[in-house]
Amino acid sequence: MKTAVETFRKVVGEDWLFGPGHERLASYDDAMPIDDPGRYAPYAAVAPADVEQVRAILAVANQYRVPLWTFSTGRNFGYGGAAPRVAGSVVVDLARMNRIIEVNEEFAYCVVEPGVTYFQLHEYLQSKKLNLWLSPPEPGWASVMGNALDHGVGYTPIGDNFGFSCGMEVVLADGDVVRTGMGAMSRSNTWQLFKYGFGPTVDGLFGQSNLGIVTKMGMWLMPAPPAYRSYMITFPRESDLHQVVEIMRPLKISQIFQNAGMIVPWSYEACVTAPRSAFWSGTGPLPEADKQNLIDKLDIGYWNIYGAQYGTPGSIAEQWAIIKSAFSQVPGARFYFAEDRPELVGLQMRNLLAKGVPNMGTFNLLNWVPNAAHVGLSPISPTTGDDATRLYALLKGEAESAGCDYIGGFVVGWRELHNILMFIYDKSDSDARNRVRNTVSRLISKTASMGYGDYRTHIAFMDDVAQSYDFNNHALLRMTERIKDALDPNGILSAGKSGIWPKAMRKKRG
Amino acid sequence: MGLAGLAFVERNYAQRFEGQAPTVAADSSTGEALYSTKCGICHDAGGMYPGYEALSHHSGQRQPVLSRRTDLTPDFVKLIVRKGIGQMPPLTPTYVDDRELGAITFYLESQR
Repeated sequence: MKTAVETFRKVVGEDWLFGPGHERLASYDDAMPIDDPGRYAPYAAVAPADVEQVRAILAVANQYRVPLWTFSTGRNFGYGGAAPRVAGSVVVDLARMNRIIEVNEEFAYCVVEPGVTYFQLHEYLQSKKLNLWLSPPEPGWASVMGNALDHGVGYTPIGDNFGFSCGMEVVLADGDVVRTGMGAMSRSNTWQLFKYGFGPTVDGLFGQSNLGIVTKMGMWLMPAPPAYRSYMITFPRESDLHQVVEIMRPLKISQIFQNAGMIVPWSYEACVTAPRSAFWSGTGPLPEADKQNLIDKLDIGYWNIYGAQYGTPGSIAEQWAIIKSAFSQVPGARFYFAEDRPELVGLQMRNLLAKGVPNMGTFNLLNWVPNAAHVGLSPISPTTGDDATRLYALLKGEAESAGCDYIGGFVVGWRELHNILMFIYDKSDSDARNRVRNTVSRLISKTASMGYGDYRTHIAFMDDVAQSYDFNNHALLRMTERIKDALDPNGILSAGKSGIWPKAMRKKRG
Repeated sequence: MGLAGLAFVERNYAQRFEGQAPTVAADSSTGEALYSTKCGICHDAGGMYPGYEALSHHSGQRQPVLSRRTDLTPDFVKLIVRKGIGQMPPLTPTYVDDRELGAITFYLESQR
């Protein structure tokens, strides 16, 4: 390993290799530990500047059988951040590769390297006065490519970030460089225009996986609409959830509800507004009476929808009439536009995100308790009232049993709900970490038994989630690992990512 | 900060992020410009900025806007950036390298 690390140093230069004991290495550990701090600590970190350095690193890793762990910017907090699944790996920080290769206003796309963040891309679009919007997730410092590859979500109509990617460049474990889709043709001018190319479409193999290192990716943007506005709809009762989701489903499928909006409980708006201590000084979950006090003080609903509209003034007005009429079926529903409630941080944050303006407002949720970390659980369900209420009851009960408030909600996808539950806990409290860890592990199994699979998880739970996808004796995982063995026979790339292990390391599973 | 005191500085946020390129972007290597892009995203003033809110709520800071503080020594800033504190994660050298961090601390010190 030492020889390999010294060779990495020659590849990237002294400034970009952080070996054992280097004071910068600590920044590559999991900043939001769910296990004991240091459980997933890397051996070293190396930061290449370009594809050639990536290929050189891979050559060294193959020669010396060095386990690598790659990431775009390493800020996937709550999912492990920059930390490797296998402690003692050398992490490959791709953030220096931060060129915006192209932005095409006519066809509304961009091509980016791993290190390009939403802030950077937004600033670029603004400075060039381009009439394009991107689709940021909550933290604006996230990598555009990284978020998409981890199946993340933005909040505009093009919020299925991976779904709106088009064309990749991938460096395989043996150093071969592949371009997908129309990029596989050297003189193609449609790499970012047509996803499928010819033959098998392989882009999905490189999302949430360890089958190659993505070094360029095309993302579709959207032209700024002539008119836009965002809104909030509040519902007074906990029991309103079923009816709200039933109303939402046809509106979303017909695209009357246009963006990846959210249905969230009181706690979401509360936790980005002020710490818990502003509402209640006790320990454990807020009692019901204090929840209602909070709801009354903030003048929000028990449930709250954040949505947005895009189009012409006429089309927006017509669609609003339909939306308002539909949700008015819920007694006590109230309707606001973003400008009506400037004091609500959650609404204002959503307003900005829904029009493609990245921000860091979501990190306010870490002010809910001192020294906070968070870990997420996100089972996928159909968009039905029965599924939403069933999962809500389970997740709320488990969160509160673990001593946490239910902070989460539902992201409304094209045909599905992402049932988000965020455990927010004091990361310095080992009892709290253990309770949350055990609860998440139990919930992964429990929700899977009910037919709800997680779409994304922390490195600590990747094997658990992978095992829950059990059709035909885990046929999908078995197939993926056969591909892994073919593409990465030495098993150097991100072992254990999404539960995919190289042959020589399969005993580490679990 | 009580609920009655909650204020959302929307105008400040809109100017930062909408319709205008940041006014300090002309020379992105200056400490002030680097502070704006690397630190200000969390530490500017207002309810949308989690660093500002954290310092207001949890630390009892009388001056939660970093660029207006008079007690931030370069060594302290560098320590916090590299180690993290509370809910602020440690920042990798590819997010802000040593040269950039030096320029930022120089800028903050010039505000004292």
